[in-house]
Amino acid sequence: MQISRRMLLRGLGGFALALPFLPSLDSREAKAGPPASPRRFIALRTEHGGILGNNLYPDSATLTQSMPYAGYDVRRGDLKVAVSGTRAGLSPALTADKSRFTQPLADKMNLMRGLDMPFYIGHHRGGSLGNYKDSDQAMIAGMMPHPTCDQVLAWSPKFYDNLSTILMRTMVVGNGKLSWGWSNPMDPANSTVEDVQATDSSLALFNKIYSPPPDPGMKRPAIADLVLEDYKRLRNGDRRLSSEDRNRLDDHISRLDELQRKLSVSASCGNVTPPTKDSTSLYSDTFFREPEKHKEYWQLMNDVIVAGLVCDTSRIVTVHAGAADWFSDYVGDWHHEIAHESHKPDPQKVLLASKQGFFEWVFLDLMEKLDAVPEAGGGTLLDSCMMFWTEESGPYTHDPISLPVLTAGGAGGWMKTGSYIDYGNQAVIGHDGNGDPASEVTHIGLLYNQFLGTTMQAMGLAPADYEQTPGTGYGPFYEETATWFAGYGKYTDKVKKAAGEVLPFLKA
Amino acid sequence: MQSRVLFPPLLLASLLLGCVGNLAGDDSTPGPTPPGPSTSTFACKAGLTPAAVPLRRLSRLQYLNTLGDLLKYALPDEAAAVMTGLDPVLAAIPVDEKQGPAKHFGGFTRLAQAVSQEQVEGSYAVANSVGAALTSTPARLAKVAGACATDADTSNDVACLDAFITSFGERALHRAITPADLAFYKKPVTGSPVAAADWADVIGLLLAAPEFLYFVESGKDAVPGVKDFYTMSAYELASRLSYHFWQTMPDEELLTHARSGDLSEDAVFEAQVKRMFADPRTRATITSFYDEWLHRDDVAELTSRLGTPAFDTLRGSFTPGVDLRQRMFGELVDMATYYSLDSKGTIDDLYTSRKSFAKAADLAQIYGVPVWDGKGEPPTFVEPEREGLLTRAGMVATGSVNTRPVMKGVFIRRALLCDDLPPPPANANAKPLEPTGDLTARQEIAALTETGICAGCHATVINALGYSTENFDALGRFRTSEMLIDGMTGVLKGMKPVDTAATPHVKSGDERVAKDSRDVSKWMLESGKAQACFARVYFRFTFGRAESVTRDACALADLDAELEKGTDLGAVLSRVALSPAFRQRNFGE
Repeated sequence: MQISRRMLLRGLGGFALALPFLPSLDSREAKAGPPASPRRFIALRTEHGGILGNNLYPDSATLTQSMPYAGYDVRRGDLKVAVSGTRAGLSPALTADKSRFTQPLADKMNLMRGLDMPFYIGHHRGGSLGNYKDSDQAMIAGMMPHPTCDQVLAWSPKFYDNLSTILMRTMVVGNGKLSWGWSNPMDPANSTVEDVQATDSSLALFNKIYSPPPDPGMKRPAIADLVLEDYKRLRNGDRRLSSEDRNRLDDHISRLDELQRKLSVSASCGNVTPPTKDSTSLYSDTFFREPEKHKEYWQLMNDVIVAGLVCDTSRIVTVHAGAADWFSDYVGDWHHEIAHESHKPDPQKVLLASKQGFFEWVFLDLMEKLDAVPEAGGGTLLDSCMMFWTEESGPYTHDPISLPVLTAGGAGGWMKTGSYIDYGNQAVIGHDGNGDPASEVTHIGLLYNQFLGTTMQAMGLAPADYEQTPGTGYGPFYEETATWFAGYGKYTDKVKKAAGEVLPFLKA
Repeated sequence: MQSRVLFPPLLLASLLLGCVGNLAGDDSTPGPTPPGPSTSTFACKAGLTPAAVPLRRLSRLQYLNTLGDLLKYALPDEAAAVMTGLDPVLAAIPVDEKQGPAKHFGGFTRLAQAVSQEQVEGSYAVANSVGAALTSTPARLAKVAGACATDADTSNDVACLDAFITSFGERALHRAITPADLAFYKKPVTGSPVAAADWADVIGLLLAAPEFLYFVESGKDAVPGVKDFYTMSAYELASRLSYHFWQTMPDEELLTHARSGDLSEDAVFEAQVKRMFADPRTRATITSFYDEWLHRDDVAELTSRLGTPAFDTLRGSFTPGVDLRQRMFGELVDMATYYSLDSKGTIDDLYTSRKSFAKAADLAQIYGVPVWDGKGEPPTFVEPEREGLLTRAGMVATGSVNTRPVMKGVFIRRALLCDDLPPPPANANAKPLEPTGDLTARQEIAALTETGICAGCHATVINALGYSTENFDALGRFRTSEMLIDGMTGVLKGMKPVDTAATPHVKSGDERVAKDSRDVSKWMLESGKAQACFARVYFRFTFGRAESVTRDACALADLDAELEKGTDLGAVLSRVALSPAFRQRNFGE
């Protein structure tokens, strides 16, 4: 998407959006002084992990600062983009064309290593946002479903202090589960936790985030209120229903309440030319072997995501890039031949290309587009965001030790950026690398719950708004009891007690 | 959509290829506990009652079918066109994914019961769109509601609306319409004359109603001696029957019995069960049952490795087409449906049949038999070793060069025997079976998984089940020896005899060595576990919820007993509707 002199956002597939109609640039608001930009939350998650440290992170020599924290020293350094020929990057995986990946953009990023889930989770999806139960191999007895942090934000009056323009509390994008919320968001105590449907269609997403101007000739009221009345008529009538039936009707009623709210939203971005091309139109039997199509797919999707944020019809995005082999032309059984062999040289090469592609054509692409949109109060749309990309596993696939996190945006000034941070305790080894084809060593670090809690605070919530148990950060706390887990018995009380705090080096 | 192909391996990964990698010689670390004996019988005791379950919603399929049938009722000539016009809004109704205790093994889409914002908004949009479509022209409205809806006489408008709501509403809401309903569903009407937009909203309101989207049940009579249990009303029985067997709303005959109330009488009810089961619409339902149960989500596209040296060596002159994988699964379903509906087959036939149900040339070529025309007597397999469900291509194909004994074993253990398996340990770093050129797949798997902590499950309850069909290659072709292919170059370096003998431990403590899958199938039946598992998965499918082997024991025991004594599958599949569980409901807890 390019910004033209006429302040027009142009995307793929014919999509165009006129900037003068942006709420944040509205002249009425300008007269009253620059409005505070709302904060936005964007989470991207990719499969497997398995990327080696030296392919993902800058040289550890760049970690020039350290501070004692949780009983050991955590380290940071400045993120410095190195240019080589036409390419610029922080590491082999975090590399892009030098015209696109510039130092100013890197200054809006943070790259973190050394964030762990202290229990074995294996393959999971919702775990990346705090629902550890959404895993195939979670072995912790008593593990319960938990809403993901995006859904807590989505229904938080602190985050959405004004819903007048919001058509989608969360844009849930991709293929596969990631977001989990309550069956009745208005009554979490009596709710079950259910997955939130994702869309892989950029056009369907556009239709959800764009509200066409109202038809002036249309005066007839919608029947939503009568539908709601019908449900209440049944719920509160004299027909025999079980309490479970009534709970279920309550769930539906809360959804109808939300529908009614949305029907009253009259947000419009003005002269929007809807996209004519849909991301799903690119699918074919060979789609996952065609990186060029992957670029196009994600550009179509990113265009719509940015439009939703620009038009302020949504402030939350979760993206699950649910197939492993994005940005790869590998033919074969990716899962077994690449992901599970990733520490061998050839598979690592394939994996690296895939991760690099995701960085350049999804993460950086989205970053660039967000950074191209000025906000009335100064800065850019990106500056209002807390955007991050994480992976299912750390360098050892299946294993949640040293999960990588790359962030972008400063959460409206809440967060410092431009850092490479290693939260790992260099004195405590997780995987010792023995027997590993790459001899990859991991170090035990701080808890992933602490990172998620930090993002929640960056979005304006207080720990009491999201912590299940005080001081545990976001998400339930579990600890592995199986001795074979590489992190077994290695998480100290100091590390656990720190989980409720903001991660070091991040708070502005 | 490609993701259908690619995601499942992600979900199944470590179970499927198992347990290798960083064992680091640490045999002292405990592995997962292998499963104990699972029950093959259900203890039906007096006083056992099924748990209360929350209000179920229609599945996406049931919703679409019902909508289609309502349109046929309201506007017979144009129903198809209206339905096609609804495609864009229908696309917003979320797709149901398989759910269940282990969704890849005996999971069904009927168990997907989450109600998302998209579902509520999608069904609301559909309701409005149908209302608009059915009233888009005066001619259409007149067809839908009668001439009284469009004539100049306004004095008949109320009667016209009442008649429409009574008839259309009875079908949409699955119950008789009351005076209170008539008053409520006329609320959108803004005045006289009743405008087309009023009619549209009346229709929309009916199609967004709770009783259109959910199976709302209030029961009829208290079941004596069982607290909070009630028999279903005749209308509720009609819906239960219709949605179970046909996945749509009751037909006119069923409605007549619901209206009169005589559907609550045993004789009438049983006659209706018989009629409905014999109806062609039941075939689609039974087909979907088998399709979801027997579908192996782990099998990659059979064309995914075309052009790679090793796969090309394996396939020789045979070139799998893009549809072959689906045809293999289709053959499993055709086989099961044939024995369930077209012949009085039993569960034994599923496990012992030597008939081919291959309807396409490529699959028939794999089997070395003529194509089956879908009507006459199916051809018989050539090799005596190909016998029963376990040996069919859909059960043994992998989409790769090597067979996957672990995947096969896990599927049999979990989907066909209903045994649980614990997850693998963290250091079970699943490794692909690359053809080595000197080891058979079995030898490779044994070396990787049958030592150390992995052996606890692999050597006892997983691998042997998969070994028993190693006499079929990765494309489902019979073989007596295995090609030893260099995975990199594709060079055929030799042949080794296949080895199918193993101790499958179908039941815990059974140390017999099976010579091949024929013994395994026989022992699955002998053990009663195949029948018990069938009963469990069919119960799950019928009631749209996970079974409790304790609280649902009576219904399960009944199905199990019929399967054990060799009752034909058709009778078993229809019998479930006769169980008290089908005709009663718990309103307590």
